Amino acid sequence: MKYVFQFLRIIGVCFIGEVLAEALPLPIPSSVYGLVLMLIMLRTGLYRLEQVRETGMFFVSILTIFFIPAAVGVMEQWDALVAIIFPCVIATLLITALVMGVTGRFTQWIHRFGDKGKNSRRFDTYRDIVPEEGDTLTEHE
Amino acid sequence: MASVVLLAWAVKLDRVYAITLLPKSVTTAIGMEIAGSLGGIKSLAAALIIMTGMTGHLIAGWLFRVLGITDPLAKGVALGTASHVLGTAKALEMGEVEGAMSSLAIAIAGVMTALLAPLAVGLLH
Repeated sequence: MKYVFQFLRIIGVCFIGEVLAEALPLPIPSSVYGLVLMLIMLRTGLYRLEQVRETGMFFVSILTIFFIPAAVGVMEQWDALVAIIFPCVIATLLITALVMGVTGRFTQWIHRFGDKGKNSRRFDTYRDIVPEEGDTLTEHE
Repeated sequence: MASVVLLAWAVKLDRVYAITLLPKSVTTAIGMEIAGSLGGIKSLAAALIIMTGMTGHLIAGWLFRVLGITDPLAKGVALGTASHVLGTAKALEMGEVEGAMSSLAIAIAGVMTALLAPLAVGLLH
């Protein structure tokens, strides 16, 4: 039952996001509204982390499944895609490598620079999000 | 995103295709909406986003080795920013911190792209 309520809470936030995207004239997709809204809810304490955590972690663990319908959709676009496939593949490869490399090096540099001379305690917040040992999803499945 | 604008300039990419390429580093749901609302081709954007994700997933290990990126935090942010959900799947394989940072990076990159993409379109010829 716990998971049903957790699921309903998440769906609820997504629904409000959809409504906001329809109601407001800004060019921001509904998923972004949902994302920001969920963050606000968690920060203000309207939702507590335990109220959405297990179902949230479950969705994260099956994340790649949501890509199957989209990947099948690529096949439908094949005619449009095949004309520009070569430049697209090259561009995708180069840009992805560039973005990933630059982001990685830059973050590493910032992180080391910021950590000089003091012990980092900034991982504490992730420990709150990621379940402790023995609290993994496999136990519930 | 800036890299797409530069590329579009460099090879004189068609405006429609440039807009379609623009949100390729964010997660599909957000990226398709951005491409659609700015006048790109929605389903082609989805295809390119998937391609970006797979590319990132495949090259990450090699790229991090070559560039000497060893910090788990940096790995996570890089994967999440460059190749969204499929990158995060890879990051979760690498470890806890990588995965958490990668999820966070998707959200930030998604919101930033959604907000900045309309400005970037203005920079296209």
